[in-house]
Amino acid sequence: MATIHLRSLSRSFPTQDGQPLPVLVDVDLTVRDRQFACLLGPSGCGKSTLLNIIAGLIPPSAGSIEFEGQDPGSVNIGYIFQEPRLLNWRTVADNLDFALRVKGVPRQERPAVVERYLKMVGLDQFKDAYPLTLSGGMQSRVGIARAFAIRPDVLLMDEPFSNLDELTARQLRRDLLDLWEKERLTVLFITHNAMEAVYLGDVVHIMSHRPAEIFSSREVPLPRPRDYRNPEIFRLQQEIVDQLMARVGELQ
Amino acid sequence: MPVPAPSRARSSRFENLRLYALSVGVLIGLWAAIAPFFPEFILPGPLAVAWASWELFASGEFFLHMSRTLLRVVAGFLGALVVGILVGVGMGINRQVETFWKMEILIGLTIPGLMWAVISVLWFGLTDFAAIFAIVIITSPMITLNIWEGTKALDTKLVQMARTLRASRGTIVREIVVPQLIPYLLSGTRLGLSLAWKVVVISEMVGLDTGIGHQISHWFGLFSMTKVMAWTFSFTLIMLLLEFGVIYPIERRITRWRPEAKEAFATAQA
Repeated sequence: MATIHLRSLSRSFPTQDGQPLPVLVDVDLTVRDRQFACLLGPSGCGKSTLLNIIAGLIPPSAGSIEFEGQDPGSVNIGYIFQEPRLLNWRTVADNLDFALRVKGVPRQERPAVVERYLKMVGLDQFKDAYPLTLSGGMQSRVGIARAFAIRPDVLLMDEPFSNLDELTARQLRRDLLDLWEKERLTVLFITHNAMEAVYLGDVVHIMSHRPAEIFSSREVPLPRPRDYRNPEIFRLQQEIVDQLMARVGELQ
Repeated sequence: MPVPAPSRARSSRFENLRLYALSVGVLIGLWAAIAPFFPEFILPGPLAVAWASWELFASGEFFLHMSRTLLRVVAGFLGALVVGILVGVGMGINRQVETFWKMEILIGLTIPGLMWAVISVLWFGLTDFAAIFAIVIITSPMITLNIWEGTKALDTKLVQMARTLRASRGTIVREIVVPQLIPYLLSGTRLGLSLAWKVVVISEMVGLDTGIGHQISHWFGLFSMTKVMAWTFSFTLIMLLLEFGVIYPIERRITRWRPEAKEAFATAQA
């Protein structure tokens, strides 16, 4: 079980003039076990901060995070970043091996796991290549394989496809969904792309500009696999963009 | 494809070797061509120098002095490495440490090596330690400078990545921090060593009774240009062997993951 509850989570950062800058204010959010939740918001609204708090990288200023039935310190978290964040001096296979080693997977089991996950992202032939010799899309795949290989309870993703061209991004979204359907883990996916959110998510939570709060949550009741050409996807995306525009406009 | 065609790499390596040989050949040819116009105490020919060098090797004299010189350089360099890593990392992570040492580095880089060679012989007398001390003092700023730069350039996003995996501090240092510092350590080593060779020879000339520098100074006193050149030639030969046999292979092995580095070396080679 890996249901995440965020309760009145707030975070502010100290600034030069001594006045704390509120980034997140009273965020309440529940991501159900095995749900694919998207968090949509304008750039710089504090989405990444939220993810870093859930990952335990930074503490919240107020509020609480709870992983149902689990101690926050023992939750196995997979994190996929905006950049692939690979160890460039290690081969593709060694990058996965590193994560498994840190997670305490025994040495003799690691090669098989590495092989399996590289195959899943279609990179088994590149296991001995160094990351810098790969294309951006392939590097992203290594990052995805690394995150899945540790068999996380929760997968946090921070705009992982925003630096890629749309064609590559579409392939990777497809692959991500395939992996997710196989492994069925709880995902919180951050994006500023409404189309991406609607295509991927079971639910889309919409965030306002700083200080950020979740002001609307939309279920996406569409069957999978989904198709970008589905007019329903387009309609939902339009609605969400309108909602966001109305909200952000209201603030300005 | 990520893997470069091996045949091309090999042929360009062979091409480089030919150019190296040509380069050295031209130098020696030029030397042989002008040497007959000068008396031997001004410019002996390459054959005479080669013969004198061979005698140095054969008698074991060369190895006796070279080993002393090498010992001083290695000891001094290791000392400088310790200082450089400690101060450099400190400067990279702490603003006050950085500001404090910045001035010291600037001063250290400015003072000529000869000064320290003289000062340390006056302080420590005709001992190995005098040479080692001079090397530590002179090469430390250069190594520190590189490590400092490397520490500042550390990719903290990778540290964050490791933290999401809940990696221990030790793992982060070993797996994330040290590998990122290694290229800087290498360039510091290269620059530091080249300084160390110059300093040790000066120290030996100024005040020691063994070592390459002492021998050069000794034969200089006797006006034997052939011997001076034989020592210089032998020393250079060893330096080149160390460069191509030890330093360059290590460098290539450690930095093989960087495609751009490979290209830079290829051009440096050509």
